Amino acid sequence: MGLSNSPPQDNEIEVSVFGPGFGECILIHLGNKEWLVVDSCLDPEHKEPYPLIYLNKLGIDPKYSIKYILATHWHDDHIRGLSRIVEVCKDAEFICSSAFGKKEFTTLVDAYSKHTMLQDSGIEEFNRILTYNLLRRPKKSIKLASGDRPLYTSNNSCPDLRYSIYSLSPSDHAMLNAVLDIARLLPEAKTTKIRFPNIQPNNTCVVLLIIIGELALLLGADLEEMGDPNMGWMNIIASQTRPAIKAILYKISHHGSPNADHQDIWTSLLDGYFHAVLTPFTHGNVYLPRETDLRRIKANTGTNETYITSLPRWIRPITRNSTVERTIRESGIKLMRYNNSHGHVRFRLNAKARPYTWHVDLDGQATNIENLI
Amino acid sequence: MITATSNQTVAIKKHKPDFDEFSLIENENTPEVLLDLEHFGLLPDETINAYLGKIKRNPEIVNTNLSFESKYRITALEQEQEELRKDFPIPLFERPIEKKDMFLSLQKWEGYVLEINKDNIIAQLIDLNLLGNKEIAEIPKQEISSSDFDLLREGAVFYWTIGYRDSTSGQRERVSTIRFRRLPMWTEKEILRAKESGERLFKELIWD
Repeated sequence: MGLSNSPPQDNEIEVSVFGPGFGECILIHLGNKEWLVVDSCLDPEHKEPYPLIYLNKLGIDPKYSIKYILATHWHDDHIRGLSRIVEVCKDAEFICSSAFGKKEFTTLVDAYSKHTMLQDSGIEEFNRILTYNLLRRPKKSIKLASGDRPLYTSNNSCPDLRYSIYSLSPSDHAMLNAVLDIARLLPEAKTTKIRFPNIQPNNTCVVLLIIIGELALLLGADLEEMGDPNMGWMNIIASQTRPAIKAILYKISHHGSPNADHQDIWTSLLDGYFHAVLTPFTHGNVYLPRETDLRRIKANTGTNETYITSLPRWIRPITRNSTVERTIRESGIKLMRYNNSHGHVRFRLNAKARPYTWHVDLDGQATNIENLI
Repeated sequence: MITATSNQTVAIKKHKPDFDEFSLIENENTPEVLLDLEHFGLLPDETINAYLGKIKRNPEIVNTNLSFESKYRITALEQEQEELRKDFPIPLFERPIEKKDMFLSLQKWEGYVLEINKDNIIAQLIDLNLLGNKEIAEIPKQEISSSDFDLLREGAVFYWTIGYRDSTSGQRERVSTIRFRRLPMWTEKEILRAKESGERLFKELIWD
């Protein structure tokens, strides 16, 4: 990594966003050596979860410094390596969507992780978290996140470093939909086993609002907007009970997809001058964000302070021996490869200084979206 | 399996790890004597050569019926079989080996179906030659065998192999083969077990 390896000061807030082309992980220094992990993905080089590698690089022991671990949802690109983090950070609080606090979900986890023989699915990661990590922790509860719920607060003597962590979703309505989705996924006898599928729309998603002193961070996870006032972004925007504070940093929802945008996010939930960051995504023959998405985001931010962790594109497939290459060509099969490159955007600011001023560092393929438009 | 015949058949099966322990065992159903050498790990020719070597080193086993019988537990041998042993080495006729096409794999992927479109499928591939390398493939439907069409669904798992097939006639052809994995069905028992286990897990965890 090309960033400085000096850890943040106790009064420095850090938001590190990692996104290597497929995957997203956010690591937040809340001040006073307390860290929050939101989702996980693997560093392409070391194949280890980003937070563990990065904190070790800063000379910080993750075991004692990570206080909270949040799984915003179960998609493969947000959960790789999360069980490893939970395993290492035995004392950290684990938070997940309220939709998962149902026996239908634990049944689903058991069914797909034990009985299908197919590896490489995010549901297995949840199985490891629940069965091998959390179950072995005596009297340690799992915090369930839902709409407008205060999850944790700190009683720091310094008001600038006092923090509160709120979940803004899933709404009750979304949660019920998610439970129905989960029930529909439960296997039926005499049907063929398949790999666990990704579920769209993502009703389980947890959006976080983190308030530290007088500043706020909005982490949009993959929450989508479905035009239903009872769920999605419309529900958050219309909420009368969420904290009224506007965020100065926004992790753009769902990799900049148009199905996760709502005009009022930019005006109702964000400060007049804010920084934004997003991670790219590839699935099947779809990649996000497209150039049109970047232009829309730029138009909505009104600033030049939007960053992306890695380049949203396919890269050439591996060159194989000429016989294999020829056969692939002749078969008419088209191959594409994920751009699995390291990318890290790091924001730091002094929580005691006014006005709040972010210092932005980029590493790997991370860049300002201006460079891609 | 190798057979030695006069009027009756002597079948030799590979059976035991130590050649000294091989035995002739009468087959109750047919007048057949089995040299039971399974698990021996030797090819038929090697078995026979080892046996012949044994005879060469210990000629009494062919010259002394009693010794041979007692040593190798021969039971109820017919006179012809006695003669047969005395005349070792006996003519052995290899049963024709069934020849099969040989396949030389050059590249293999494991894939699962993400999307099914009108003319193609989109799948995620994991390169089994370069472990961990993930790719996306757009596969024309005509590349999929008609016999696998009933297995084609989102989440279905398949293997894609590229290689050379050498036919029994010596012809070599370059092939690309996609084979869908015939995964088992969910059983009532598995579902019941998952339900019990999932409910137990739910109760044992503390949800806040």
